[in-house]
Parts: sequence; structure tokens; C-alpha cells
Amino acid sequence: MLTKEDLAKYPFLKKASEYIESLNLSINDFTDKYSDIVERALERIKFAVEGKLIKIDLYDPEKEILSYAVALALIYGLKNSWLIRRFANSEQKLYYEMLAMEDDHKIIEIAKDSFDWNLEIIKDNFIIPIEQFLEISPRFQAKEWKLINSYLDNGKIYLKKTKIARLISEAVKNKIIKKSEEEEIKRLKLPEQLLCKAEIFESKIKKREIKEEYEEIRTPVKEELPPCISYIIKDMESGKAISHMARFTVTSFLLNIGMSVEEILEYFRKVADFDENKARYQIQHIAGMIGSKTKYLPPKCEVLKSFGICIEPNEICKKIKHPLQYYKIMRKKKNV
Amino acid sequence: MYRDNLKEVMYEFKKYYKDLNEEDLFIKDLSKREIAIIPFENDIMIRHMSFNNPKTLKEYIEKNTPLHLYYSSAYYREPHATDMNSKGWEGADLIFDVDADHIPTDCKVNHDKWKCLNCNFQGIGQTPESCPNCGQKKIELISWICENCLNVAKEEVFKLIDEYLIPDFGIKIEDIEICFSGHRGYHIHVLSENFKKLSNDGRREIVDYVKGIGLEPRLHGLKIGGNGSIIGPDPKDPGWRGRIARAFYEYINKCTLEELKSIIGKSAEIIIRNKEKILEGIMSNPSSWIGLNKVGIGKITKIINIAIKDILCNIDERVTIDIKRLIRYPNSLHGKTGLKVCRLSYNDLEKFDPLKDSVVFKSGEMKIYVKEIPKIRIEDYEIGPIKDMEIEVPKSLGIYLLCKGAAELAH
Repeated sequence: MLTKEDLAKYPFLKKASEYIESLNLSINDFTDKYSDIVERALERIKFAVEGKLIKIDLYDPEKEILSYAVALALIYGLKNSWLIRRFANSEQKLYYEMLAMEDDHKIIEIAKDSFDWNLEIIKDNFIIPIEQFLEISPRFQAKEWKLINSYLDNGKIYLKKTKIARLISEAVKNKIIKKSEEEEIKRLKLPEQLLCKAEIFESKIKKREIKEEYEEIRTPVKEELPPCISYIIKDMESGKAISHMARFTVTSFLLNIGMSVEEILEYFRKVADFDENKARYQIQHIAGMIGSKTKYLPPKCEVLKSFGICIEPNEICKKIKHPLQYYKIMRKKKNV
Repeated sequence: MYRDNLKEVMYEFKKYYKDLNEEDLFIKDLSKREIAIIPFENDIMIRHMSFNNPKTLKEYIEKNTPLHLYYSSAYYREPHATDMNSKGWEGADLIFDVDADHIPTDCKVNHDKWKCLNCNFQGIGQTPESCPNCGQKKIELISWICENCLNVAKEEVFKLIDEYLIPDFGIKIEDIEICFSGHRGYHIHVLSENFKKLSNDGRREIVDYVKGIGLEPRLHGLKIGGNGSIIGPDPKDPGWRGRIARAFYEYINKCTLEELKSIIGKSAEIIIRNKEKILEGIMSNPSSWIGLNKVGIGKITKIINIAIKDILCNIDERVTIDIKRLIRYPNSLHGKTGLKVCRLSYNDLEKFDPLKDSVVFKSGEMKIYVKEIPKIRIEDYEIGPIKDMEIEVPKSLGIYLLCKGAAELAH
């Protein structure tokens, strides 16, 4: 049974929308009433813009359910695609965290209610029909999400809990973004009073947007990474524990091509001995944000060779002495 | 085809479509499909047609004899809309195209030629992906139906269905429809509702799955254990896990030292020395990958990548990925051969002889002038290789050669 608290935790549920519909409210009702809900909605968006995860307040489920809907109306109404993506991303992270800790049977109910997925549990695996898995899995780049690398038997995919949490949360993100492309949503006009309140984000968004654009260019494409870095990432993605030197190399490399601490943390999340606090501390240290305040460069190729980290060097590797040169060459090539 | 030849072929096609039963034109949800033809008069495809039932379709093709007849793999709300975006896509069958063109066979040197349309460079046998002379990809293929190629294609169909579609994808046999294309291969249609809504990204994942693209054995349980020993998947495991173990086993069982050396160098000696032990280990219950300690994961992965080559499916990926594909209509005639696009159930396939069972022009003879052909067979009639010769042949063969443009009507 999905409780009201569940709807507060997962307000994307169909049951949550049904509940809201039953209240017979329209967005116009929020212009002079329910200011606490509007405040909460704004807070939800603010957290997303700042890249922080909001804490769900289970003591007031109704407020959480309604504020999610209002937050959605606000971001759709502002018609800023960066903000929509940012919000969707933030929601995805939030649900991932909660679902990964969720009771198994609850997860099954949530998947059924929101996406009509038919999950089952066998031992400690979730199983999902292949066609439902394929609705979302192609969105992930990592090799572990390829169908060919999945455990597939008789039309069913077997997934660990963390992966099913990732799949469901990604489906929510997808839904939020897809919805913004619908004609009805495009035509949505917010009442002036609400629009004013939401516009406090405008300047923040502008600033972030510029930074993000810059960062987006820096998000590495697999082909742009030298083989040594690709191998370490592959190992990390397959959940293998990696050596200290490999950790340092990959972290300093990714930092130097412009990735953020949080983004790099995502890679480490899959590593077997992942400890979020420890990992964040290490990454921040290498980034020069704490400790000696020196931003480290990755080691030279020569050093990587001696540590056995240089694997399958290719033609480009022969021309360079430092892994970052590889990235620069590949980027230049691409831009030409 | 020259005018007279065209007229002759058209006359025969027209007769065929006139005698055709309406039921033979039945397809699932016909009214939701886009229908297209290439007429005899010119090479321009007439698209965006729709018919409510086989009866109206039959009336149309009786009047407008098609050289080629197609229907869309997709289901549309408005199949006749001329703008693809306003058709209202509702889903599509999952289709696999197994074509001899994409499967390397030894006999192709005897019957296939290709020519680069850019630089005129020519060759025989398997068509290269790009011209070895100028690198362009515009290559014209002059291919012939050959019994051996068709048998290989049929084996490929069985492999796809028996090894992948049924056990891994869980597709039911009654949801699978096989069509002989009327030329060099087979189309496998999966009609089950489950796959109907799949996006092209999702379909690409299925293609990669059956073609072995992106396989990562480390994600299938191949790893190093605590004491440096190798841990690997069990041959009895489902999906790619078991497939990796079985392929590795088969390869080690039959490979020579030299072959293995060409993949992993000196470590090959360890494997050959431990061969019996390794094979026994993998097949034991539970499976254990013993005798491989000093070989290393990287090299085992290299062997696996070679070993799986034989168990992959040679399909034309473009057909599977395309969610708006036009595909040959069952029981229509292939305009390049005059052979019938035969609809088969899985149980029919084994006995199906494409060079006999797809022949429709069964009675009568025809006098033709043959330009150049390799050895070919239609029904029980064998001919060739011959060149510049006037000859009387059964009508089925005559139409086939006229369609191919390899012969003309003799005067």
C-alpha cells in the first residue's frame, strides 16, 4: 500500500497526481493562498539550481505533494530549458537516494504505479521485462547498462536494487523533460504574481547557464579520453575497487578537463568500496579546495607506465608525454 | 529491362496478382500500415497509400501491377498522411533482416561481382564495405541467388531464433513470422505487442545484443578471485554469460597453438598445456576456470572476443533500427527475381526450399537470349555458366533472368 508519506517522498506517482486532482485546485489558487506551499516549491527549485538535495519533510506530506506540483508548474511556466533539465536532474538524484534505501515491495509498487512496469523479485534481484528496461537503459552511456552486458533470461532483465533505483529515477527525469515538450505545457501561462516570485531565479540561472555551457563542452566523450583513463573508468563502472594511483590519476584528469567534484563523485559511486564522505574529501583535496590548496595534475605517461596504468597505448599515445595532451589533441580534432 | 521484356514480365505479374486470394494479402492491422509500390512504368515509388482490407488492396494492385510491393513495419493512426510527422506513429514490428549479402560465403567468388560507382574499380566475391581503390562507399552489387548462400542464410535465421529470440528475449514461437524475401534472404517479423513501442535506441540495443557489439566479459562474471585465480561464468548460465563460457570452451577445444599465439602471444602455451584441465573445469558442476591463472583477464577477454565470432548473428542492422521501414509484402513478387515473398512459420522453415517453393510461374516455356549468367538453379532446372546464348527455358527461369536483366526475350 502506498501511504500519504510515500506520495510525499515520491510525488511523481500517479497516485499523487490523482490526490491533487481530487482537491480540485488550479494554479491560480496559489496566487494569494497557500503561500507556504509556494515557498516550499520555490525552495525545491532553489535547491536544484544550487545543485543541492532537498530533505523531504514527512511531517507535512500534503505540503510536499502540492509543492512538487507547483514547482513543476513554475519551471514549465518559466520556459527555460536549462532550468527544466537542472530540476529534472536534481529530482532524479533525490529519488535515486531514497529508492536505493526503499523497501523492496514499495519499489515494485512505485514502478507499477508510475510507469506501469511489472517488477518482480527473485532472491536479491529485481527482474524487469526487457521492453520496459529498454525504455530507459539506452539513455545511459556506461557499458554496464548495455543490453548485451545485462543479465537477460527469457525476456527478463535481472538488476540489483541500486540499478533499479537508478532506472526508476531516470525514468522520472525523462518524464519531467518529455512533459515540457508537450503542446499543452508549452502553452502554459503562469499568473503574474507567481511569475514574479519565480523570477528571482532569473539572474542565478543566467550565471549558472553560462558556467554550465562551458562545462558541457568539457564533459568528456569516450573517444576523447586516453586509453588509460578509459580503462580506469571502465573498471569503476563495473564496480571494481581500483588502486590508489588509478584513483588519483582519474580524479586529477577529470578535474583538469573541467568536471566538477559532484560529477566525478558519480563515477566513484559505483566502485565497490565507495564511501561518499571519504571520496568527496579526496576529490576536493586533489582539486585544491582543501588541504594544501594545490590543484594537482595527473601524472606523466612515464609514471603511469611504471605503475602499470598505461594500457593499450594507441597511435596518439606515441606522440604525447602527458595524458592531458591526448584530450587536447582529440578536442582539437573534433572542432576541426 | 527493355520495353518488350518489361511488358512480358508485367503481363505475368498481372496474371499472378489477379489469381491471388484475398486471404493471401492478410497482414496484421493492414489498415494501420502505409502501403507503397514501385510500378513497372518508372522507378518512382508511390507511397503513403492505405487500405482498409485485403480486398481493396487486391483491387488496387490488380489495376496497378506493382514491380515491388511494400508495407510499413510501423502502425500509424493516419498511414496515408504524406508528411511522416503527421502519420501518428503508434508502434512497429520488430524486424530482423538476414541477407546473404551480409554473410560472407566462399561461393560468392563464383557468382557475385561488384563495381565501384565512383571509380569503376571491380571485383568478385564478397562486396567490400568501401571501395579498396578510392574508399568511396557507392558500390553496386551484381549478385545471384545461390543455393549455398540461401542455406547459410537459413542457418542464420535458426541461430537468431533458437539462440537469441526464444531463450534470451523470451519471444514466443507463434509471435514470430518468417518471410523469404524473394531474393537472397529472410525477414523475421516479431509481432508481439511487447516490442511494438520500442524506440530506435532500444532496437539498437537489441541489434548490438545479437551482433555481440560492446560485450564486456568483466560484466558477466569474469574476474580475478582472491588468490589470483580466474573466476568466470558457467556454460549453463542464461544469456551472454553462458554464451561466453560456451564460446570460450568451444574455441579452446578446437584451436591450434598457432591460432592462439596470434591472439595472445606466448601465454598460448600455458593454455594448450593445460587444455584438458581447463575444458574439464569449465564443464564441471559448478563451473570453474582453472589452469588460467597466469594468462590474465585481458588475454582471456581477447580470446573470448575471437571465440564469439561464430555465434553472432549477421543481420542488417539498419532494418531492425528503423521504426518506419517499408518491407516486402508477403505473397507479393520480388521485382528483381519474379519469386514470391513466402510467409513461413518456424516449423515450415526447415523444409522450405526457396528455389522451389517460391516459384510461381510453373507452366510453359520461354525463348530467351542470355547475356551472361553463373551456374543457377530454379526448381529442378539447372543452367550455366553460359554467355551470349539463345535458349529455351522454363518460364520461371525465363522471368527470373528477365527480371535480373541478364537475359532478353528472343525474337
